Amino acid sequence: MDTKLKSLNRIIFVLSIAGLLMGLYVLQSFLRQTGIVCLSGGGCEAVRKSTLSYPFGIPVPAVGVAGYTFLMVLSFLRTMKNNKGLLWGIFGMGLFGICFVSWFTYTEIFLIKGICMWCGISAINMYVIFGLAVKSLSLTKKA
Amino acid sequence: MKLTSETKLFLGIFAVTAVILTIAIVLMTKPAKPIAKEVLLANATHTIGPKDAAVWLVEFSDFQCPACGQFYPVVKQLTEKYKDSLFFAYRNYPLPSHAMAKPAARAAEAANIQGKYWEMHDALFTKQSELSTSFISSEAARLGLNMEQFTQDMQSTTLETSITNDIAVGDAIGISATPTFYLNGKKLELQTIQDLATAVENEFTKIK
Repeated sequence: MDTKLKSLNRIIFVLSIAGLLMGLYVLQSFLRQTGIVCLSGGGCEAVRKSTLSYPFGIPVPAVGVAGYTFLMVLSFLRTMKNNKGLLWGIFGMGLFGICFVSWFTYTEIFLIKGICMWCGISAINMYVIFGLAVKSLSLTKKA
Repeated sequence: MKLTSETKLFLGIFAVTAVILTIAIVLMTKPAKPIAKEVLLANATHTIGPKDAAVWLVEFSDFQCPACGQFYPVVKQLTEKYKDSLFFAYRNYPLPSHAMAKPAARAAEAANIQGKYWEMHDALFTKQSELSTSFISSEAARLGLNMEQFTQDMQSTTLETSITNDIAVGDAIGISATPTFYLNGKKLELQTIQDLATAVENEFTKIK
């Protein structure tokens, strides 16, 4: 893997860990029904208490935790094996991730009418990861 | 298997994160210290029961919050059952997302000036789904309040002080949701509405 690809993979790994930590924090609050530290007013509470935050009975942060764990594992595996399939895996997960966060941001704004700061940060994080995956793929193709 | 320097770097980052996460879990699951009565009851104006009671319950609530409305009958039941042995304080914590929460809190404060705080408080919770400006006026009239004075008091800035004091206490102790209950200074983590009654009853059993 060349230096540029290595750097991009490092950033993806670190951002995945950051996303995972945020997801774990919000998930414990969903499961224990406790308050969330939130800088966006009562938005986090409104989101936590809404049934829309539990699609198919699954708390939304659990989806985030699973997704970020998957991204973290894939980017870790890329340090051992320069396999294009792993990068496509990151791209695929990132694509699903941005669709999911876009849907949830829409749900928050228009249906729940409350914004959870953590979900917003996580959405931006997922977009950045997806962007980095696209950049990595384009670099691989050029090489 | 020989690990590359990049793999080792990632493992290092992961290990550091795991350590930080473990510390965070330990700190977050540590039972919080009870908050002193003077802090929780600072400037508390709306209370029921003997001040020196061994069991005291403080609620931070919002008249428009549906969960607060669901807890209301349990609180009422407890304050009636233990009227001689439970000290209860109601503190306003109107959430910005609830447009009628602050006007409702002001209505209760305005009713308080005419000695009908708890009557207005009960009306606001029992008919929470009807909460509106006209509902507040009709309830004030039903309670036999002097409407001219009530309307004047509702606009008064001094009413705001009591509500602002409650919010300031809530903010200082980190309230992030309503209702939040403190039983003898300890924050209650309630899964169901009935858990509140159980917690209070357990506290009475403990002190016997």
